[in-house]
Amino acid sequence: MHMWSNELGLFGGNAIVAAQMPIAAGVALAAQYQGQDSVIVCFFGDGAVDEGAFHESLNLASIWKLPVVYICENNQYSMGMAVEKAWAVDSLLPRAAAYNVPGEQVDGMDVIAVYEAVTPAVERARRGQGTTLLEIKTYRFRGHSMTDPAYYRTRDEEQKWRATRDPIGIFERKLLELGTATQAEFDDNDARATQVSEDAAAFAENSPFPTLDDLYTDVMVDNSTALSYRYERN
Amino acid sequence: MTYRDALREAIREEMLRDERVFIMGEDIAGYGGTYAVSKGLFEEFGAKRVRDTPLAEEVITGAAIGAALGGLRPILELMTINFSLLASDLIVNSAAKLRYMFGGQPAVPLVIRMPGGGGAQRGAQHSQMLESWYAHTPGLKVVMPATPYDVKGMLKSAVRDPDPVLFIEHELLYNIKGEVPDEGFEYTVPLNRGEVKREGRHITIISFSRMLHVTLQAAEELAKAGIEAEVIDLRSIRPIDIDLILDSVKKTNRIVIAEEGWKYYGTGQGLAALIYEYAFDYMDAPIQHVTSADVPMPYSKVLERAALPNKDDIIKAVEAIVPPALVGR
Repeated sequence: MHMWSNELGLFGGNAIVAAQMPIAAGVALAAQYQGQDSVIVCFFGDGAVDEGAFHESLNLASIWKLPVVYICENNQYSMGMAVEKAWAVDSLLPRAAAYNVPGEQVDGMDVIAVYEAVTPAVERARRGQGTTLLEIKTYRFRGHSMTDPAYYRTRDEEQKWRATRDPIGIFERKLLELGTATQAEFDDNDARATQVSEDAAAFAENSPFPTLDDLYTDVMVDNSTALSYRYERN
Repeated sequence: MTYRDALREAIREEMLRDERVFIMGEDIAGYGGTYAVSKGLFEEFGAKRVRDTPLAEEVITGAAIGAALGGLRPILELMTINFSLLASDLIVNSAAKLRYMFGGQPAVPLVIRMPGGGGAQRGAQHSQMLESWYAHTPGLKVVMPATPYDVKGMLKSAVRDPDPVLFIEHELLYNIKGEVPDEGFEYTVPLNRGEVKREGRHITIISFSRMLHVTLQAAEELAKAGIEAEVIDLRSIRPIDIDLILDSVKKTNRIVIAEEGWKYYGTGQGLAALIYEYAFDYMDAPIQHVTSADVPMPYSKVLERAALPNKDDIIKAVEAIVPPALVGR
């Protein structure tokens, strides 16, 4: 949630569902205004579709032809609420039509299908033709959080998805069939990914905690104008 | 020059100075602004820099935040502060927090202009003073200039400020007149300093926004009765210029706070707590607090007048804690 990189153009996560959607529209506006050819890609879940910000953002991005691609990762549960109980329609396509933007449903467990849907959407945005709404249908294998026992769905359902629809497994089988990669390469990849994760975890564990001076750092750009800084620190 | 014209001059000068500055909001282009602040700017700067938006406070506020993150200097006009509640999530949960949450990488150089206040028979949902809600939140600046000079100088400062500034005007201030240097004369007014608008030695009356003018009228009348009131205009309520207030408390030892907002849990009570915390030993009488009645704003002219604080309320509050002996009566 707390990842941001000015250097990479990564504008963070947002712990308020759908709040990233208006902000993404604004970053896209800045790109359009300054004549840059960058495209903003904004991810959100099926729960965000229920928020007003989703609708307002799609509308604004449409009328201003903003270079933003809105990608809904529909994993079928907003925390524990099943999408079929929350949505009045069973797909995002009518919503895309409502805001006069192209929409597409994509099998999110098929890496190549996702690539083939996102690429033209990004190109379209870059050409100045505005936003696209993609519904990437997927599944969340685990609970919503570390403490979610997922009582709202069956273990059978989870098992079925894991066994038959794992996107990494599907992609590997496809590449093997095509002969473009070998099992040894996958094993090597897995080992490297594991190593990167373990290194990152070790880095985090071995990093020092913030100092108490950090408590008041970065409230404002000019922190001396922050109220707490002026009084509590004096 | 009117407060409205001073605002427009500030916007225009900042747009001429910096290409990144643009304005967006509901009915600010073709209509010229609900309170005619942006009149003529669309004709001068065009649709790219004077942007009419849909009536959708949440997305336009989020988009202004995003534009600021993307390197622009947006001035967003929300039609009134009442409607800002629809955008309050973006203001409080994003604009105020992104820099802190993300280790000081993002900056949100955003100005949100909006009028608050009652007195024009706009009814309960169009007459509120909600500045205290926002001033509660670390990460925001909340300013409320009361004069044409201050509103121009502070808007220019707000546009150049690297942090999100809520710039709260008042519907009944747009037509007031005051001295402003000629167009093009460069000056700014800081966002973190109040000002003594009238000097006095018997009591300090602290006010801001429209109530400053009511307070100055009260001070004029009190002077005829021999009470010399010092009038402080907060200008900014976050950050608050506590040093200026404490200096005045140490001189007069008596405080009245006059504001248009509601009494409970707002700016005045917060200020009173700060004064007791830092200057209790200098106080010779309990702080008096003049506010609106603790009700939603009534539509009826008679009741609205009764709900709003007026000059006599301020005079009464002053007289309650200034003993006649003090002023030789």
